[in-house]
Amino acid sequence: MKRTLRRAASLRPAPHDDGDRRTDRELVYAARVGEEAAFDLLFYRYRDGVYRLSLAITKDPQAAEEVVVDTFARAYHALARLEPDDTLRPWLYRVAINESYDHRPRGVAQTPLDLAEELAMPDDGSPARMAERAEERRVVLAAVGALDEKHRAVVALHYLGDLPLAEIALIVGAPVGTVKSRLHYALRTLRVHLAQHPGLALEPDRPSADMGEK
Amino acid sequence: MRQDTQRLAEDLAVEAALRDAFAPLRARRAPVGPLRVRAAVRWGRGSGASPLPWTAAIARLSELSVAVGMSVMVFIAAFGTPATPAATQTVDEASDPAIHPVPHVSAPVDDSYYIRWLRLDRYVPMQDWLDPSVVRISPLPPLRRVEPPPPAPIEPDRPY
Repeated sequence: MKRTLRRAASLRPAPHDDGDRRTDRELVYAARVGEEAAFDLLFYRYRDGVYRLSLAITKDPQAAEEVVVDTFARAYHALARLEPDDTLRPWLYRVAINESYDHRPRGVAQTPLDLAEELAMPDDGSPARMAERAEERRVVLAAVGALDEKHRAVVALHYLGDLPLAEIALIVGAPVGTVKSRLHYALRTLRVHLAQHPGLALEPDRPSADMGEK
Repeated sequence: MRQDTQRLAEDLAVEAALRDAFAPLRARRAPVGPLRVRAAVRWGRGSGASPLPWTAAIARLSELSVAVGMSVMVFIAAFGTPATPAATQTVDEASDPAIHPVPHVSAPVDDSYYIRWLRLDRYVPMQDWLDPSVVRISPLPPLRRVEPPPPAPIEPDRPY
């Protein structure tokens, strides 16, 4: 369990490493008076998070790029009325989620298999182990894809974006208790779904071969 | 108690599987720069409204009118009665070109223009009436029966 928690902590993105100590609120005010560099800083600060979130929903890299562009274009137009208390992230992610659902390719099978195939990470194990891990990821992403939209969004925000529940509540526009309930329901559904795959080896203390634990 | 512990362990395992499944996605970086956002802003994307709303409305209206016109045409063609020619028609035999065709030997327009170009337009283009071979022939006089001359009497052999 300690190993799992340590691995999760290692996955958490670093705080703003753009060299600018200004808060989002200050950058929004600076961009509002015409400082383009301030808007660029906001862009560089959140573009990857928006892109990953959109990629998790659309499963299409081109659509995810479009979502990034549209989300920040909306932010640019909304600069005059934006009043971020502390961080701009909930507002951006909320727009990104809505844009992602609009940009989802229609008529194409929404299977996360392609994503798992494309996102195969280099592994330090044998080819057989790599294939096994890719298959595990495929099964898990398929289970996540089988969730309905609101549960899938909460799972992606929590486990992909590593956002706290309070911020997820701001993004999805629901109370924190509702977010907890959705997350609990999603985990229970995933547990039932993944239990049907005995080869997945969902033992609690599964040893991890990657993620920098050497 | 044991069931709760087992369920917690399973939840942790599912969480670990989720983080592991999303791990490749976390390594992705957005291949988009701020210039693209500025271009999108300049072209009106993300503003929530179309930059040329009237153009879109007119285009939509024209599409609609074409669709309505096509539907009406198909409807009329499907249920309307076909036009039939009149049962009796009077034909003016004196002027009917099918009975009395007027011959034309004029060269096609392109050819006459070509000839005019060759002659540098110094000659009047050829007209039908100048060609004697195509002048309308007046009705022939009625045929008369010509009686053959009576045969000459056979004369006796004459010495040469």
